[in-house]
Amino acid sequence: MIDAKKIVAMAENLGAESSDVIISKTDTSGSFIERNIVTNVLSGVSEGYGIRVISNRRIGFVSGNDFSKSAVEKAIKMAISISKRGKKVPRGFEFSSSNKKTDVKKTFDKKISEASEDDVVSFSNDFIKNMGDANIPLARIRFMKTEYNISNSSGADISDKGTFLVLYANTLKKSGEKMIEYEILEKTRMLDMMNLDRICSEARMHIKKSMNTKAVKTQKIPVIFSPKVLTELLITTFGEALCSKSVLLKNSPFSDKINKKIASEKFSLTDDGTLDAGLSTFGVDHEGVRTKKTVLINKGILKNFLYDAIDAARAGKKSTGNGRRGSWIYDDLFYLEPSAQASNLVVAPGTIGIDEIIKDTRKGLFVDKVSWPRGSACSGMFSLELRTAYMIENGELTKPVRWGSVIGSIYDAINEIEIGKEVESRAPYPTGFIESVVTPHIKFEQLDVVSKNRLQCNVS
Amino acid sequence: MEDELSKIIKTGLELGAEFVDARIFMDRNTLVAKNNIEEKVRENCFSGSSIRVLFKGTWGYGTTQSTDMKSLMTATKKAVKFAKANNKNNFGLAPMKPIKDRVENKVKINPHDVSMEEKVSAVEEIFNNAGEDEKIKTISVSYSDSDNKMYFSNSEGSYIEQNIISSRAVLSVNARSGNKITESYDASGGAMGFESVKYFDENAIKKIVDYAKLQLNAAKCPKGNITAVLDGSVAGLLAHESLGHPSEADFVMNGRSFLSGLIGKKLADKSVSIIDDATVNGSGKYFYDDEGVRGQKTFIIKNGILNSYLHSRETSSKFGVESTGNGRTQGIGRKIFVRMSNTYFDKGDHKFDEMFEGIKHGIYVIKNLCGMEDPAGGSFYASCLMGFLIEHGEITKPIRGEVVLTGNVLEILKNITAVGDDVVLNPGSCGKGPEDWVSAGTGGPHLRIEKIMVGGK
Repeated sequence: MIDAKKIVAMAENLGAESSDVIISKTDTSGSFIERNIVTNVLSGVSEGYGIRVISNRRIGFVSGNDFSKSAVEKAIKMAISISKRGKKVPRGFEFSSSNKKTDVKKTFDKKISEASEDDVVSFSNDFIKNMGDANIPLARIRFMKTEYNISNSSGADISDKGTFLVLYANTLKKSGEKMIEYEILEKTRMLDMMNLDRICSEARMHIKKSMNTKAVKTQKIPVIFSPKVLTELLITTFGEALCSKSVLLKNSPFSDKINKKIASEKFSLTDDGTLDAGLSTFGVDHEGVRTKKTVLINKGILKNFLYDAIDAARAGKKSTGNGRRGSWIYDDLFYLEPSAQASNLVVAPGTIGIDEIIKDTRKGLFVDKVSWPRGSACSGMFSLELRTAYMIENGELTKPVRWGSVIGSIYDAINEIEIGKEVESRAPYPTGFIESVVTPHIKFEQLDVVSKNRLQCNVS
Repeated sequence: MEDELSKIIKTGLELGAEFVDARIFMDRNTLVAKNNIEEKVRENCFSGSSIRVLFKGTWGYGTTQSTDMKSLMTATKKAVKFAKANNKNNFGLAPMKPIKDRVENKVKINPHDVSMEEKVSAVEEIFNNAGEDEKIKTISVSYSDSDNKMYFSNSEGSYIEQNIISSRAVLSVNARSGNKITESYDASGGAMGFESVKYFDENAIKKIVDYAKLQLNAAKCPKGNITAVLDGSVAGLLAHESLGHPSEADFVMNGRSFLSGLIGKKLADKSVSIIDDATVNGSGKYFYDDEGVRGQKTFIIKNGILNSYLHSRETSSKFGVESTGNGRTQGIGRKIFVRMSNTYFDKGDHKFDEMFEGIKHGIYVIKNLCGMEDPAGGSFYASCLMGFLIEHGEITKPIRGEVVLTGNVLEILKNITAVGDDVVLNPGSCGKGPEDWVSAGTGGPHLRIEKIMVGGK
């Protein structure tokens, strides 16, 4: 089969001034569980190439999966043709010539990459067993191995690979008319890091505790968000606003805030593409630049933004190794051209345990799950619909509550916080190799909680 | 392709499968995008195959990115091997008469007949027209089109060739004043050709720009149980998230839908009907679903009564009904689920002005941003671009987005008191949970809902 290096040579022969090529392959074995029974067992392979060519300082991008010589030639010609109308690259821009990659740990596990269909079914049945008497209407399990090779006309030719194990499940229990649901989303790089015992007992505990859920009242109170809530909330707000695209487009409120205070001094945020067992860790990014650790916010002070190679050249900076081709729709890297995206966003842990933080809260709300924890990168605003939450009264979790939303701006709320010390590593979606977050629980001192049921009409 | 697929089917059966279906997908899509710092032009060409076999009640899937016989055979063998790894007797499959057909949709301007230069020019024109206002700081325009071919065959003797051309154009803008940044957007598209960009004429662009500018000085969103008028875009989100998902029969079958056991029950006023329709030219258009069943128009709610769930072949077998042609997959390597096509509220008889009559205090909510289903809990969550206050029957001050609507679906349905006569259909996509994305259209006319929980950001 044609490799990336050969495609680069072909592009040169066909008239491209410069080019870079990624070939990626993802092997998947997985299962679906419905009604507590394995109903589907799947095997899949996805392989293809993405070709960027530069002609007259403009880029064209084509991707495909037909590796015949004629099809690849056609793709290159198309890339050259469309580059005439493509993105203009900054003067002096060149693809990375480095063949170095960062030494990363716990990102590849043979137990995942070599899992047979029997292993998949056995793991699935273990999950069903661990959930006990809870119903599993739908669960998906995927054992994935992905590998990629990047080659370019600057001389780089570099490869990387990784494994992922994904468990996504809806679990529920009925009691009379009541139906309590709990969603599980867990992703690990190593099989042994997927602790089914812990995951299932936590899900069972939440289901049990939520049986007598009441409507939350409208109030302004301290709110603790779990890492499950914070994961997507941080990615869609700080994660996006601190990436070069938002900064260069001036959609980010932080565009001109380097070295200025933007958060509580208790809040430090780092992008760490090298993190051991990180859910977005690779040794090299998806355009051949070695990954690294970038301090974004240090004790509340904004320090850096994240860059891919082209945006870095545009801003007169160096790539931070964040040229990523992540998508939450596809398990493929070749499908898209790279752009700056966070890798593992790491919130520095505090010194107080979550139990202690709850104990110190006279009245508050503990939020474990919301329906869709996204916020606005422009404004930091969020409105999160409660799914699994508990009131805190006199330092203890008491009644489960729902039917309401927590509303606020994370860019404001981050100024008054308490940070827990126990971190969790989480990804927002089961699909793709996108951003992840490592964070403890965070307590926000004052947020609006709005009930769906108990409010007087307040039109002003 | 018919010969190749029939060899695969034969092999699957010889290896012990009780049923085999196979589909070869070929997709070619282009994207042209422009914002304030860059232009992007992309073309993707993909093909691949997905083979599904049934063995003692377990589905086995084998997939390959190739369409050559050797790869197809390997994938077929793997599908059977994987199905046999489980070997649990869970369900059967309702019989279906074999179908032989070749179908394709007609579009006004076939994207293949439009050069890349013309596509780039169209995007640039929209970009330039949106950029004339000094308050607008960021503009993003994209146009994409797709030519999707599916070759389908199954062990019951069906063979179908289907070709769907679709396109989508999106304009989004940001206005800025001091530290305040606001957003606005609109999208056009569905089972259509290059004509989707024509939607963005001077008036459409002005509206999008105005919505971003108006929010710069708009009032904060009121909070509480308020009478709301939803535009067709938000009504579509309500149809999709609150009624579409829970009517997917696999949710019902797996005990995860609040609509379970409610067929034939009155859920809303007789003026309310909700339809799932694969035959209209929205994003969710198809002639045949991914199981080879003819796509159709299904009333989920008809004149206020819950009329039907949406079915695949598997769920229809369980429920003893015919499939509604809603068995769909994201593509190669993905499971076939019950999925919506184009889901919308049917039109009523209220004129636009009549929707606001008699509302002392309320909110007019426009443009959906995103929503989330809760089929088990029966709640509704929708995030919307912005709104306007309604005071004494008149639309007055703008309300800053995002406006969030929440509530209990069954209560919301009962509180629909007026249905407009102006149905729109918007392009979109839909996940089964957080993945397995398919194209899906949503829409409806204006709706008036007495007391829905409104919150804002």
